Formats: sequence, structure tokens, C-alpha cells
Amino acid sequence: MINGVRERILSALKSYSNQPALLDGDVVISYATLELHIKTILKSPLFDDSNKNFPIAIVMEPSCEIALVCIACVVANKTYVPISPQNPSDRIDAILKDLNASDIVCDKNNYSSLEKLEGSSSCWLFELSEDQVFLTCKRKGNREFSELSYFREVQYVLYSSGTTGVPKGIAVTYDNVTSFLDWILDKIDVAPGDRFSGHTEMSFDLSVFDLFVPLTTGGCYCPLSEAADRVFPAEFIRNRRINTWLSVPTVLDLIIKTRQVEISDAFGSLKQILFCGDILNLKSVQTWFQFQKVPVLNLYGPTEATVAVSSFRCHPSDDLSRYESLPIGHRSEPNFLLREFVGGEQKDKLYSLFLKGPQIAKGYWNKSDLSSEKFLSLHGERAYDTGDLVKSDNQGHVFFCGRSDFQIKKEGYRIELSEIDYVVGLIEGVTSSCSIFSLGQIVTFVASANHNLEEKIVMDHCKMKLPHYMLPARVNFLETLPVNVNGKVDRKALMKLAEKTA
Amino acid sequence: MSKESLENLILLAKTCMRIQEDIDMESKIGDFPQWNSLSHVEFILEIEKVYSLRISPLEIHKLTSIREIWLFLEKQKAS
Repeated sequence: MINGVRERILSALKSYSNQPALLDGDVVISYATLELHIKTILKSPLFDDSNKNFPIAIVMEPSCEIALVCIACVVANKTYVPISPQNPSDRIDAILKDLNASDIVCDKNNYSSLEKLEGSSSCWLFELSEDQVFLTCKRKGNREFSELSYFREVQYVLYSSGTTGVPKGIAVTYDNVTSFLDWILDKIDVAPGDRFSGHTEMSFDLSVFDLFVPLTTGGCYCPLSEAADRVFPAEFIRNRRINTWLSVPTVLDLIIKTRQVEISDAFGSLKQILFCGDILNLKSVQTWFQFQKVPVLNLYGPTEATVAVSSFRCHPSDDLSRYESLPIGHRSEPNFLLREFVGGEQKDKLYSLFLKGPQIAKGYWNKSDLSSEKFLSLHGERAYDTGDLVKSDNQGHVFFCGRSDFQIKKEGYRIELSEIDYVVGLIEGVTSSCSIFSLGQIVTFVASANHNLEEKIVMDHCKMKLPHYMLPARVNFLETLPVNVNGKVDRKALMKLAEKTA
Repeated sequence: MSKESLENLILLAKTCMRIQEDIDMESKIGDFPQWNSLSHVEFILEIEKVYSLRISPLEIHKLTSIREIWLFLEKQKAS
């Protein structure tokens, strides 16, 4: 693309040199300083071989530092792979192996734990100190990276829960991101100098919005690096004079539960407040409008379609009571492909939602079979099978109704329940296991002949392999798992059992 | 507030946020993966219920560790 995300950043570096680009606590980095930092980073031997692309894994806390590394990768046309340091080391190791990453960049907080990981990747330490940046090779690896054919187009790979027990990497191209930027800029009110919140970790794709919308339009990225800011977003928004906020919907519930929503002058700087990554509760939006006049955007889209592909805008004056739930978009969305869903027991006509268009990702990293299964050709167009079931009203609004598989969303995180079962199945003495999502909690049922197996053993094992948001809230032991007439695990029976034992 | 009350507060934190590891006066949000902003808010709401009090949004901002919460509860008791 002629005016892609990289060119837009380079143009912003020149056009807005005196404006702040990154703001974190007392650290303010202007576009001019950002340009200098990028030049310094790109002089590092990590970026030496410009003819060879390779994935750069980044394990860093949310901060200006990680933003600098990601931006440098984009300017250098490299592929970066942010991995949350919150992951247990076993999972980070599994991701690095799947990725076959030759290099890992980390910060001071994560360097020591990464150094302990076995592996042959080179380890780089990134530091931002006053007005200088340092990227130092701390361990030289010897991993030979074999380049994939499509690799050069890929901007980032984000890892998500996988059905086979191993996280899967979603490869998103530079063109995908440019198309997303074009799409979203048509939906929101943005001007140079605007400040954007950075609520999510870089390993979550909402950060693509947080970072690249401001940095391609002369705005400023403001990460929430303090835990207190996450508990009290109202104060962060007021202090930082944030103009656009994006987070998962659970944050709106947090703002309401803690009565921050009632603080009249806290949200005055906002032009819009955006939510994505999970179901946005209609009642929460109505409560928001009781106290605040800032429009709300409900965004919809999986990581495989580059952040979001559809939206529903709510204004304070809208009569939202006519909806049962908030729409995720409209049937006329050019990215939507609805196919009638056969099966299920719901009274409404349900559709499987497929997505198409220029935001559809390249595929899953190094997993061609899975890529062919989920990215397919429909009516001659490349489409992605979201697994989401939707319905439509007579005005064409589209509503999310559930899943056609066992994927769930918790706090905005995508979780394949079968990944938990795979991990539990590795424990000695476990015959089979089945995890379900009941009353907002993951409950794992374990069938085992080993009567000494306790909840603590299962939990300790899971903690080593799974991130905290995937841990079961409860583990129930059964002699055998109930099965239905088809011989499959009877999830409905387990749901009833979970509710009874809650 | 008595030692017993501090132990009760720690127990409430552990139960509410499903923390199996030891926590003490210095423990704070972010120290454990389970103790994040969302679970912290659930913990604060549970404190409101158990101690029959209403914490203003501005006070919630300051209550990010066991020590701060304990001192806040002490102050409430004295007033």
C-alpha cells in the first residue's frame, strides 16, 4: 500500500514534531524525540540484517517502552509478537517454540525470568532512561529461523487460546492494519493532539487501535501503567485529559459498580468512549447515559479480522429501550456474510457470521490446516468463520447470540475451554475432563480413578501452564463424566451440576 | 483494629480473589495474577458489604493495598 501504516507514522513524525506522541506518568515523548529514539533502536544489531525478516518476540509490561519497540518494528517493516509477561513461563516457552522466534526483547522486570527459559533465542534488554534508549543483547542465541513464504507482509502475530492445547498465533498484515485504520477513522472523531488511552496490553489487539490511531494522526498514546489507574479510570481520564477511551466492556461495569460514573467532571475531555472484545451490556450503556453525555461505540470483531469490522454508535438521546441487547452492527456492513445456521434450540432464526474484506488476517502462524478450516472461500471471496451466531431484526440490526463451539469470552479474553481440558488431561490419573462456563465462572469437571487427586493439585498444575484468566474457579471430581445419547460429554448435565454446586 | 480483624481482612482478600499464596500487610493489587483491577473492585465491594460501609469513588482510588485498606477501616472505626 502506498500510504500504509508505516508511511503514515513517518509522515506524522515530520508533521507533528513538537506535539506529544507518548505520555506515561512524568515521561513525555514528542514526535521529534520519538523519531530520534526510533533511529537509535534501528541502529541496534537486532535490526542489522534488513534483507532478512524474522519475528521479534516482545515480553514487556504496558508502557512507553513497549510502544517504542513496536513502532520501531513497524518503521523497519519487521514482524513483532507481543507476549504478555503475565503468562506463566511454560506458556511463554510454548509460544516462543511455536513461533520459532530468533529474538526476544524484554524489559528489566521480565529479563531475569526470560533468561531462565531454556531455548536458543537471543535475548535483548530494552531500557528507556531519561532521554535515551538502550537495546542491549544479553544472550546470543543460535536458533536458525526458517522464513515462511508470506512472512514479509505480516505486521504482528498475536497469540490466542487454541483448541489443541497450544496457543495459536494470528498473523495480521501491514495491509490489514492500514485497512482497519481507514475503516475506524471513518467512525470516530479524531484530530491532531488528541489523547488516547492505552488500557490493554500489547498482546491484546485493542492495543493496535490505542497505538496506531494516534500515531498516524498526530495524537498521543497514554498507557495505563499504574495498577491504580486501572481501578480508577475516571481519575486517569480526568488527569490525562483523554479524548478517546477504548477498553473491554467489563471496564464500563467497573466504572459503574464503583460509582465513578457519577463523578460529573471526570469524563468531560472525552469525545467518545469505545468498547470491544466482549458483549457490551445494554443496561450498562443506559446507566452511563444517566450520568454522562459522551457517545458510546460498541465495536465488534475478532483478532482474525484486525481489531473490529463493525460498530454500533449510541448517543445519549437514543431510545435504547427498544433493543433487547445492543446491536453489533448492521446487515448492510460490507464485511458481513450471514449464513443460516441449522441446529440449536432457539426460537429466532440464527445465522453463522462470516467476515470478509481487506481486514481478514493472513491466517494462523505456521498452522496451514487450521488456517484452511477457518479462512475459507465463500461465493468466491476469502472469508473468516467467526464461530459467532447472530440474529437480525427487521431493521437489519445484527445481534450477537452465542457461539457454535466451546469458545468463551472472559474479561475480554478469548478462551478455548478445550485448551483447559488438554492441560488438565496431562495430570497423572486424570481419565477425562470437561470445562464449562457457568454463571461467569470456569468450572472444570475431572473424571479420575485416583482418589488422592485434589483440587490443589489440579490448580497448581494449571497455574504452571495457563494464564490467570483461564484458571478454573472450581474443580469438581466425578467417577466418570456424563454422556448424552451420541456418546459425547453431556455439557447440559454438567451445567446443571455446576449451578447446583455453585 | 485488632490482629484478628487484620487476619479477617486478609482472609477476605484471599477468598474473594482466590489467592492461594500467602498475603500480608504489604500485598497490593498486581502482586498476583488473580489480583487485577476487576477482582480488586469485587474485593472492595465485598468489604463494603462485610463492614457495612459505603466507600466513595475517590477513596477507592487510594485503597490499593492491604495496608491502605486496613488503615482506612481503622479510621472508619474511630470516626
